[in-house]
Amino acid sequence: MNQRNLELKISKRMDMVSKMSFKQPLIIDIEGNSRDDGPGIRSVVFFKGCPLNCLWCHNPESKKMEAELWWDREKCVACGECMKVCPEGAISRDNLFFIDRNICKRCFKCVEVCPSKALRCVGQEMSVDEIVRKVVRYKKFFDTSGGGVTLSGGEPTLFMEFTSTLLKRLRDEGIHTLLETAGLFDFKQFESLVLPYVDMIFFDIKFIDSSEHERYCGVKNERVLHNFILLHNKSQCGHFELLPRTPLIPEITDTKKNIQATADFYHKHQIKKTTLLPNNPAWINKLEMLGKKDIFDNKDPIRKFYDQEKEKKIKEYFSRHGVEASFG
Amino acid sequence: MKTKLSAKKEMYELLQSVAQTFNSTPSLQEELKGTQGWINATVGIRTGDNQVQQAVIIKDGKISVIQDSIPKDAGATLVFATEKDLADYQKANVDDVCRMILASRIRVDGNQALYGYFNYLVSLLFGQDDIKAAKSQAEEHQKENLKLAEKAGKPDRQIRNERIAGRLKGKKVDPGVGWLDDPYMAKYSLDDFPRLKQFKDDHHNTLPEVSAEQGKLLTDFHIEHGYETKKDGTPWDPNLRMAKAFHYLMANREPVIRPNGLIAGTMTPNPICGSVTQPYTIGWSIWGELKTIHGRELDPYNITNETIETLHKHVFPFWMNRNIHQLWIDKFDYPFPAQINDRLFCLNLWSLVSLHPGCPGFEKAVKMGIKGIREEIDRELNSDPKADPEKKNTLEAMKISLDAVSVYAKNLAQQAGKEAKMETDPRRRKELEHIHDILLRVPDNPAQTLEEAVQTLWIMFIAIGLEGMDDDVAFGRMDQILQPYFEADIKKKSSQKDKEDYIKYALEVVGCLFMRITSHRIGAPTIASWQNSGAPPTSTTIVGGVTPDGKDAVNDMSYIVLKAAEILSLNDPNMHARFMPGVNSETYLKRLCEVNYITCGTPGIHNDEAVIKALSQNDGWAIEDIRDWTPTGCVEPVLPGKHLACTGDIDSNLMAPFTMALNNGYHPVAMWDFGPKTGKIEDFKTFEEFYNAFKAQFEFIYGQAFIGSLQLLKIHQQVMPSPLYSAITEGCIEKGRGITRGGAKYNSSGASLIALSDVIDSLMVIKKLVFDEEKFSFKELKEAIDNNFEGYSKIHALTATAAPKFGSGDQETVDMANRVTRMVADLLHNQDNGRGGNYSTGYRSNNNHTVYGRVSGASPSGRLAGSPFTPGLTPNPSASKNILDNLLDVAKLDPETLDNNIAFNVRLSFSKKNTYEQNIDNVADIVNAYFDHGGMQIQFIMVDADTLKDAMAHPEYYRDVVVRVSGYTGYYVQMQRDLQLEILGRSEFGV
Repeated sequence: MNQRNLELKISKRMDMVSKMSFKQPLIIDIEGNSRDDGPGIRSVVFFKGCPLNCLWCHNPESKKMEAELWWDREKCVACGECMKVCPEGAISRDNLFFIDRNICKRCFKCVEVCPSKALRCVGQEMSVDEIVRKVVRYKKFFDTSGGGVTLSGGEPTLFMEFTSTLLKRLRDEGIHTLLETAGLFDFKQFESLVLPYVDMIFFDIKFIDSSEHERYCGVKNERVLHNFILLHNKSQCGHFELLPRTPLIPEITDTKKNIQATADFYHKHQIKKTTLLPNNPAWINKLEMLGKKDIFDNKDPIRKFYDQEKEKKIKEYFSRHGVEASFG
Repeated sequence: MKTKLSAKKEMYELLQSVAQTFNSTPSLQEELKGTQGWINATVGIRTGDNQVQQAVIIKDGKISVIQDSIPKDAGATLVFATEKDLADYQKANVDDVCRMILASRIRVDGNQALYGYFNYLVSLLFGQDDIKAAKSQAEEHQKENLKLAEKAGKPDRQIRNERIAGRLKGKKVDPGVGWLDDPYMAKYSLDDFPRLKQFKDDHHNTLPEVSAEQGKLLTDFHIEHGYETKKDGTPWDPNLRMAKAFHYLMANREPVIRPNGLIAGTMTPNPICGSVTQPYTIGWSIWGELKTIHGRELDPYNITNETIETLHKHVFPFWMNRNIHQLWIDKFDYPFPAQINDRLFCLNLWSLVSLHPGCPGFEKAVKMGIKGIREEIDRELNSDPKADPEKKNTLEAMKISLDAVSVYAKNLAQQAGKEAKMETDPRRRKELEHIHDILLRVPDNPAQTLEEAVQTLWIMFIAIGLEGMDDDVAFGRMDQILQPYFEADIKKKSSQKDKEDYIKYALEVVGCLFMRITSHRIGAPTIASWQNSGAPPTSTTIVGGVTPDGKDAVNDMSYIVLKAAEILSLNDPNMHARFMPGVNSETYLKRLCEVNYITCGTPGIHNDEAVIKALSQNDGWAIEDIRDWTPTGCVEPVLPGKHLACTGDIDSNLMAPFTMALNNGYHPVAMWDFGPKTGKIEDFKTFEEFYNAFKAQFEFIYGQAFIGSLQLLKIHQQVMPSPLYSAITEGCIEKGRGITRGGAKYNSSGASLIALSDVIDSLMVIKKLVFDEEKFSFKELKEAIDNNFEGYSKIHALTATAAPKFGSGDQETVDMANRVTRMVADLLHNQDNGRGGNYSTGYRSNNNHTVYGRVSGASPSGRLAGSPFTPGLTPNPSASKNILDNLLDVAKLDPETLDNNIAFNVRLSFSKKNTYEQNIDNVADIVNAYFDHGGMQIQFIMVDADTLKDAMAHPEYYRDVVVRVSGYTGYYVQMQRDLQLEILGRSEFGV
């Protein structure tokens, strides 16, 4: 645990971050066909940048808002073209992760010459039009399967106006919209800009205890929970669906204390349904591609897929407390 | 130099020792004598540069060997490309030899049957070694398979059982379903049908048997009555000769009723599974393996010593100069098409063995009975006093052939009666008496009950199979044919219980028919098993779609047939389903997806709208007939009972002309410079110039294929005019012309092309990276592929990242794809096939995508040497991780250029998070949207990679997991290892 705490280096991001709104997001990727991000066949638009800094973040490349350099060892054909063009001399086989990120000025000249796409620039500017054009091709698949488009990230609500325009355009195309959010946003803005155009919201409830939330996610969660309750009350009118989601991270979010507190919270606010996201360690491999060390102990349970018996028990626990849990 | 000399010398010494052993061993000398006298042959062995030339002369019971020359009259010559190949051959294992053959390192020039004879003689001495080699090859494979399986994550050994257990119930919503309250028939499993369960166990546990019955009887007949001419020297009318021989065959063959079976008649005397071994189309090709076929790794067969002797001494010697292949190379002044075909790298003309792939009018026989058809023929003869001799003879031959069917049915009836009398079990006795009674009525008379209809169907199927070479004959729309009889039967049942019992019985009867359908295989040499390993004779059967007047055709029998497919999970019938968006119900589509899920890979699903659109471009084809279409062979559409479609007439490798365009007419794998000079790489200044070179090579190859196809048609008109097939094909009686003479109402031929997506991807690399963006020169690219990209990693990386691939959602690539399919269609759609029709074009590949890939060099697309091409027109796995892009790109291909249909393979794996029903719904969503975009066909393999790996290593757990290769269906565990790996390497899309 100690090592982990070291790595966290929790940036004491102010709750203020939730009041910020940025104009143009970078888009990491548009995944054409997802079955994991909402009902039916869905396309998922991944925004770059997040006010949280969760230890287990499944998309570590989505944390920073700025474009990042990505290097995939497997794809590298060792042609050396990148070294020739790097103005800073930041690329060398001698570097632990190929690129010396202390020197790299992120000019991405190396990306342009890399023949195998081992080097990539994560985060591209994309207009609302471009995004809509990309996903609208799949509309028939959305329609036959009851699917649509999911905005994910990162945190789309960091870019309230952009998100608003995008959702509205999708809605105009007759496409079902879903937003995945960590819940740290200015409610008033959200209510006027996002809520009118969204059909479904997946809302992360990671911890009930605020200091735990701060410890593992970098910020306190009072606003998160408050926003959730406000949204829950609004959702009763039936214009949109709201579904909380809790990641099951071993020994972090799946503690007896947190599960109990979560169930109590739901019970108190008459939340009947939730989704559990059992730990999936695939993201750990992404660390070195971003130039980060994998500091987890070999035996750390975070490296393993979540125990099936355990997830069943947690599901049953929720069920006993009147909350129907499914797995996402 | 040393190895070269020794290889040459070793071969000579080997031949010498063979000769000496034979000459000094009386029992072996006996093998040189057939029923028609000494079997004589001269077989040469040489290298491409003629540095090695040796020959074996087998004459009048003696074998002699010549060193350093080959007599001019040598019947067959084994050619090694180089002396190194000769040396390699002597050390090669079974797999290596196959690969050498496919890669043109070894070939046989001349009479291949003669070479088979020579091989047979050699196997008398070394056959045991071959069997041992096959065994150790299999052990090697098993070792590798175990290693591979160790790396597999979580295989799902219970895959079939779990899926069977989850069966859904369906709602009765289809207007044509009148009697099934739960059309999915969820309450029934195989356990409810002990008879079928037994049959299925037998099917999996019994090797098929090579039969000599048909060969012997046809040989006997022709020895007695003459073949080229009658015994008195007067010419035969081809139809009459064939009809009389067929009559002799049907009258004298063994009438077999499978113990405990409900349907009488078998394709061969072995009631569980046999190979007809048709002597003059394909049977001769196993001559060399008669002694080893039971011990080979791929598609082994049982064979008795008596059968070996009959085939070797009696049947094959008679046909060795009379088989179609030999006639093809012998009878024409222009042997070039046959030479190209025999080199294996480029063309594969199925008309070399049969024009029968299609769907004859089985329904007509069921409805009218043999007598009814006979009366129709008589009426035609009476009403046409001006009938020419061909018409008279053809119609007379039809009657003789129909009589042959009646005689066989009567023999079966007699047999049933005899067995009933001897039967001690009263239940079985009653069944046999019932079978006897049915056979007294049908197929002579119109069927009146479901059982009668099924019995007629099966006897007609046997008859058509034995008239031809028993391959690729489709049953067609089984649900449409059988529904009236099902309804007539069930209406007679009064109580609810009687009705339910009857439905269960109807399912059992269809199940018995399915088990009959899978009771025959095509014995073929090992090399053919590489090309189509695990392939049954593909008796294609389809349900659903629309009726001739465009209404919903789904009925009770659609679901009963699907249920039989589900519980039996067989390789054959090759099950397909038609789905007409907006007309057929979602309930029905969901069932199609569920049967796929339970069986892991069947039925293939076709978009009626797209297929009907593709077929409608044919002038003069009535829409009512088009709406009645059915697939045959793998997927190719035909109009049942009205159409001779020869859908496999020309199979070809599209990469061959492409490679020749890169090499100025030379083919590096075949090591043959035979194409037109279309320019050196350096000469191409624009992409268009190169594309034109490709087009010129393509037109050249196809020009040769057309000539070959017409030559083969001429042969078929003489040796296989098929009067019975003609009698149940609309148009033939009225025109007085058999199917090979354009008698059918509709006449087309089919072509299928392999490697489409690799050619498209290669063209895109050349267009984008060489000419548009000038990332590297054409010459550099050519050097890279000539070196299999070794030392050219940058170019290789760019082919993967910088050029869009078919299936990635890139419009320019789709345009390129349509340009290529249009180029193909424009040539073929306008080519006369000699029967008053043209060629249709399609993209399915059997297993040739693996085989051709294995022996092809690297492609500009970045594909490495030896890697398989993709099956059918499936996009390359690297094109996109997104299944939707794959589906959309395939759906954007112009259906008019795909009128011989496509095989689009999609392998799916299922999330453990989903419920059973979600899995089915997810598949249905994909199919719905793909069809909505205009996609023509889709076929699934619903097994994940870990499970496939486990199945390779532990086949005992997966005996009936069926997978779709590229059109045909087979058991994964029976497939050739390269093919297993290819299926494993296909994109796996999670749903």
